[in-house]
This record gives sequence, structure tokens and C-alpha cells, in this order.
Amino acid sequence: MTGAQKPTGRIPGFLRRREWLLAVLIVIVYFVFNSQLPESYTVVNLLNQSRVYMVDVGFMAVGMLMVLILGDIDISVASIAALASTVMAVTYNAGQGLPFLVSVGLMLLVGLVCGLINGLLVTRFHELFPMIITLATQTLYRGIAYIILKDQSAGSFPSWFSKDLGYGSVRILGVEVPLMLICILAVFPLYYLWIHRTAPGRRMFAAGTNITASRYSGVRTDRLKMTAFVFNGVMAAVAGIFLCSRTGSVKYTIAAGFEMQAIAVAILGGASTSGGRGSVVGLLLALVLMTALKNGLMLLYNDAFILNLSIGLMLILIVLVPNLWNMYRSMRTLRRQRLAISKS
Amino acid sequence: MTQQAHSTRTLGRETVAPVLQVEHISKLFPGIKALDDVHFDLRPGEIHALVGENGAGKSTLIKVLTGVHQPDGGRILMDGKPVVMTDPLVARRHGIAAIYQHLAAYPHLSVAENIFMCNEQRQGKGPFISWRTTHRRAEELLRSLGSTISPGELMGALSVAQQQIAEIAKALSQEARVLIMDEPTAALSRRESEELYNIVRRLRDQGTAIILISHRLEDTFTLADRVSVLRDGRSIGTWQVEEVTADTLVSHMVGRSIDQYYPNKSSQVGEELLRVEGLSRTGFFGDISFSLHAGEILGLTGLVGAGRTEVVEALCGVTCPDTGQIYLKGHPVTIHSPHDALKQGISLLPEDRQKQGLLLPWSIQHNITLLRLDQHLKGGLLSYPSECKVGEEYVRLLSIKAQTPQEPVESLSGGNQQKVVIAKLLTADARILIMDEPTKGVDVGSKAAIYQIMVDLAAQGYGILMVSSEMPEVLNLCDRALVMRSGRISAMLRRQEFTPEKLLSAALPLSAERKGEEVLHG
Repeated sequence: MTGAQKPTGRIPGFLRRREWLLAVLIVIVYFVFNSQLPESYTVVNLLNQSRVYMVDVGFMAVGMLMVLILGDIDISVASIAALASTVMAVTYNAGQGLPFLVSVGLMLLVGLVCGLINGLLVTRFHELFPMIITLATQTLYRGIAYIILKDQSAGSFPSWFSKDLGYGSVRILGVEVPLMLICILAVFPLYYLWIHRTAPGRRMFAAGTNITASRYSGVRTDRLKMTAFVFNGVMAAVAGIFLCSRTGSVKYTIAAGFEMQAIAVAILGGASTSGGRGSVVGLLLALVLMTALKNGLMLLYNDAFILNLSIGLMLILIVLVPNLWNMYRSMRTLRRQRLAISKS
Repeated sequence: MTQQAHSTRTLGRETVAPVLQVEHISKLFPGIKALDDVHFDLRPGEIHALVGENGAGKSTLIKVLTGVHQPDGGRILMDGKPVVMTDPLVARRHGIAAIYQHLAAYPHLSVAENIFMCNEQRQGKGPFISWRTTHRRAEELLRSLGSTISPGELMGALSVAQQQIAEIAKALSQEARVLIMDEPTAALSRRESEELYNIVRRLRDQGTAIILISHRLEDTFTLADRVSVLRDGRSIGTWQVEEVTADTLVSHMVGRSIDQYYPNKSSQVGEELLRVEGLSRTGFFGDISFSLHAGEILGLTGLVGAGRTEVVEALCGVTCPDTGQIYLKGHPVTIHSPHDALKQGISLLPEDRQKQGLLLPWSIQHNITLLRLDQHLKGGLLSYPSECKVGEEYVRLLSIKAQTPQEPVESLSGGNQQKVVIAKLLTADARILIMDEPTKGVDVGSKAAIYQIMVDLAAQGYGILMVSSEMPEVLNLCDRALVMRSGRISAMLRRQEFTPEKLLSAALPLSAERKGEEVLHG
């Protein structure tokens, strides 16, 4: 137990919850990089770069969190984003095809259908692991994207899409806040209520904790799983929208590797691959932490390889620290008990 | 405290030096003293029962003996010499073998492979396993136990009783001098238990020392030579089995005497709640017909494997019957899922509370409210105060022993966990309550409390269908009893007609009836 979900009383004070641990780390990371790069590493710069590090992975992680809470996993999300983006770019056809908003609607539909396929396979074939099923659909979806686009790239989106949504910002309290950052931040309060305060949200945690006991308690677990996979598919498509607006063009390789980042962020935020745990606030803080860390490392080393390494280190660190704390605490309690015995 | 545990006494035959002695053993876990100055001794050729409520420290003692845990004080002696069990392998080298409650078998491997796991029969000194030797030796061991299991069979294809025997064969293959059996009969029917008893007796007569842990007092009295009681991690005493009665043993275990084990059931049987006609599921049960009334406790008994659990699972929508009709208050209904069953007013207390009944890391109150989250919604959102209120209410109502309703259920004793499952079911407003082995793995004190709850519920107009393997339970609680034999109802008895003989003869397979008589009178 890392103590992320239930206060075990073993991890003292402010470190008891994963959320606080993340908040402390964000502050530390910020001040460390700020002292190294006082000119370039600022809040304004972080807000600017949040477009690159926070938004598209963030939407995927939002969908992924629900799947992880249910104790499943979906590694096809990046491929869903790629397929959905491909369909959008091809049907819009640089203004020659369908109206742009229809193409975007089609994109969301593709996400929904892909999620539905994942969900159907997972709920109909209980003996297959979701990991294997989505590994298959991962290659399938990206394969279809390749068949449609081959090695070509497609783009030429309307200017409001690639300029205003992609790089536009809104002035709030004298600070330029990217439009797409506002979009993802707006999702979190609603998502919080859904996951942590509604009956279906509670039942998702129940199903992830013990699926048999939940089914015996009248929880319709297959229905919840379908919801999670479909929502995850749609969120992947939404991630695709923002990715397209930022990059301005689509290739079949778009978003490659994003699924692992989404899983990593969700786990950093307190979710567990064994299910039943996860936190929306933790997810948001984990996203902020990743942004702060990646941005700083990019400014310092200007090498994308350092990014993957940093995520790995951060994951090990944050999963390990509460466990080490627990070990230390129980050892101390034991020593005290032994002392008390030897005295008496 | 009749005696010091490490004194040497006669066994009725001759004075024997103990093979294993435990002196002043203490074991600490953060915040709890699991074992406190525990004494215990074991002589060759005796069956020594170790009894106590859940959490009394039996399992911890076993883990200390087998080297899983290291004691914080005291020592273990084998043949009078102190030994240190640094890990399970060392314990095994000293000849201590344990067969656990939840079998640690490899279901996808053959019986022979299971028996020689970590003790593989190699070709000479080479790296390769000799399958011929493995199978031959496995066969010898199994036949020596009087079993007909084929060594090539998959472990997972065996019944629990047969797996138990394979585990004993495994212990024998390691030349165990001390055999620890943790709840060996928990999942066995009466007849299978009897077979196991015979094997255990044979081992004893060959000189193996056996520690038997069981919640069934019956096991202790039919098998053991001596019995030791543990309570709250302390040794309470050791007695010759002939010296004690069930009542005194129980009062030593709970620390007080239980005045009335089975409450008086006085409720009137009312209208019909549930009627089942010709329910069948191919391969599991067939032609099941009965009815359940308000205020009634209806027993469903029979041997393990007779299809009782399968019948109640079909009633609750866990599985679907092939044919037959279920009527609720006279109206035909179809039930496709546990969700449907709850909506229609049928709730199930499943057999395995840890796997099927509870979310172990969750708090008591969140477990209780899971069934009816809709009752706690305010403006579409879950209301924490409302959940707290219901949690507190049920903790008080069923006297669940916990500091707060926010405590995780995994920290409760088995009996209190069972009460949490019952509390959850009560929130459903389902008048039909199906309880599958409600007192399985529950300590004596809680058993009495659960019986009282069942009787109270019947008095409030609930209809209770209780699946039970424990005959005293059926005899003392039920208004009527259905007996199942190989998937069919073989008898329906009223309270006035209840005798152990009638129940047993209806439960036993027809060809084995004679054997059953022997069991009964022998």
C-alpha cells in the first residue's frame, strides 16, 4: 500500500497522499530549474510549453485513468489518435472534401468506434488480457491509417484551427494562457465529479478492486468496462484534434509512443495497473510535474532522449518513496516494541 | 492452566520424548503482539490439535515453525536441540511440512510434478529430471496413502479432497516427521473428511507427529490425542482430548462461556416468497423444486459437490439455468444477473466472503453502501455524511466490532467480515436472503452472533435459504431442510422429522449408504 487512496496512518502528515507528494515535487522541480535557468525557465515559458507536453498526452491520460481504475489497460490509444487524425485529414482533403467540422465529427466517431471495438473484445473474451487485445488493435488501427495515407502527409487545415487553437492564447490576469491548456483544464472539474463523486464512478473503483465481489453486489461490470473503453477511445480522438492543430499535418506515425506516456502519467498520479486506485487531482498534478520536468530538461540538454529517461526515473522514485517510508516506519515500531519488552 | 506445555506426559502407551518443542515464543508485528510467550510440544505418533478463534495466533505460530516468520523471542527445539528456522527450506530439512488451508498447488502441472516440486527426481547427478522415477515414486506414495489418483493427472482436475491427499504425499516425499495441517477439512464433505481422518490416523501410527488446526471441533474430538488452546496470542493450556468437553473447550477459546449457542427460533412461517419449479442446469443439477416462505429458515444441505452452491448461484443470476421457472410471490420471473436478482428482491451471501463478498481494502461503510449507492445521492453526487450514517447504523445494529465504520474490512476478524456482508445485503431491501455457508471459517463467538441475526431476520419476515455443510446448524436453526444428492433433491424434511441419520442417509450416495451407517455409529 503506498497510501495513495486510503490513509493507512503509516505515512505521516503531508506525505500521506500521493497528491501532496506530487505538489511538493512540482515546487522542488520548479525551483531547481529556475535557479539553473533564471531567464528561460519561468512560469510564462512553462505555460507556453504546456501545449507540447501537457495537452495531447493529458487527454489520453484522462481516458486511460478510467480504464486503469477498472483494472484494465489500453495500449491502442495512440493508434486511435493516429487513425482518427488520418480520417479527419483525408476527408477534409485540404478544403476539397467535407466541411471541416464534419470531418472533426467523423474523427470523434472513429475514436468512439475504435473504443467500442476494444470494449467489446475485452468484455466478450474474459480469458484474453486487455493488454493483448489492445496490442492487437494497436497495430490494426495504425495499419489502417497507413493503408489510407501510406508515406504521405496530409494537412492544410483552416487557419483558425492551426493558428488560434494550436498557438492562440487568452490573456488572464496579465498572463498569456494557451487556449488548448484552458480546454484541458476545463475537463478536470467535471471528470473529478464523475470519477470521485457519482455512483458509476464509485462502482468503477469497486470493479477494479474486486470484480467478482462487485458483480455479486449487483454492479454491472461489463457495462462499466464498455463505458471506460469507449470514453478512452473518444478522448484519444480529442487528443488527436489538439495534436493536429499543433503540428498542422498528419502522418500515419503521428502520436507514436504516446500510450506509454499516458499510462506513466496516470500511474504517477496514483493509479495502479492492478486496478481500484487512481485520482483525478493526482493525474492533473502528475501532468504538471511532467511538464515542468520535461521542459527544464529540454532547455538544459536540448535532447529528446533525456525526456524518456526522466519519466522512468520519476516513476521509480515516486512509486518507491512511499514504500520505503512504510518499511522504515514499521521497522521503527518493531524496534520500540522490542525495547519495551526487554525493559519489562 | 492444567500443565506446563513442555512437561513430558504419558500418552496412555508409554512416555515419549517430544519431537518438537516451542518455548517462550513471541512474535511482534507493527502494533500487535501476535504471539506472546507461547508454549507447545509435539510427540512422535500423536495428533495434537491447535484451536482458537480467528486471530488467536495459530497461523502465526505455524509460520514461525515453518520458517516463514522469525520469532522475536523464545526458541524452537527439535529432539531436544535448539534449531533456528531461518527460512522455509531449513524447516523442510528438519522434517517439518505444512499443508495450508488455501492449497499452494500448481493446477496446470501433473500430480507427480506437484509432489516433487523443488525436490525433483533427477537422472543421477545430471541436470535432467527423470520422469520415470518421478512417476514411479509418486505412484508409490499415493498408493501408500490408499489413494487411486493417477500421478499423471493434472492437479487442477482433482477434487479438493484429492488435492489434499496429493499434498500429504508431497509432505511424505520430503520425509516429514512433523506434519502441519491447517484447516484440512474446511472444504471437504463429511465422507471425504472421514477418508482424510483415516489417512491421518495411519500416518500417526507410523510415527509422524501431526499438528491439526481446525475450526470444526468435530475434527479435534474424532482425531486428536491432545488439544492446545491459543487465545489472543497466548497459550491457554494443553489437555488430553478425553479430559475436555466441547463446551469447556469453546469457553477456553472465547474466554467466557457461551450460554446459548443456538437461539430459539419462534417466528411464524408466513406467505410464500419464492417458488422454484423444475430448475435444471445440465451437468450441475436437475429438477429442483421447492418453495421458501416469509419468516422461514430453509436449510439446503448435502455433500460438497452435490450442486447446492450451483443451485443458489442460478437463483441469484450468477449462472443461468437451462430449464425451469422461478416464481416470486406467485409471479414468474427471469433472472439474468445478480443485478436482476437484487432488483427482484433476492440477495446472496456468497460462499467465499473474501473473494465474492467483500472489497477488502475498502472501509466498512463503503462496502455496506455499494449495493444501494442510489440511496446516498444528493443532486446526483454521493453524499459522504449519508454513507457515514448508514455505516454507523449497521455497525451498531449487527454489533460489528470495529473502532469506526471507516476501518478497512481486511483488518476485521472473519466473523465481523461476515457481518459486514450481511449488513450490505440488508440495505438491498430484498426479502429473500440466500446464505451460502454463512458460518464458514467464522470463530465460535461470531457464529452464535450470526445465528442470532438470522433468527431475528426471520422474525422480521425475511425468508432465508441457508446452504450448510454443518449438520448441527441445520438441525438447530432450520424450519425445513432440503437435502441434495448428486444434483437432485433427495429429501425434504420438516423440523419434527430431523434426525442426523435421516439427513445423512439422504445426502450420501446410494451405494455408499452402508459406509455412512458405519461412519455414524463407528
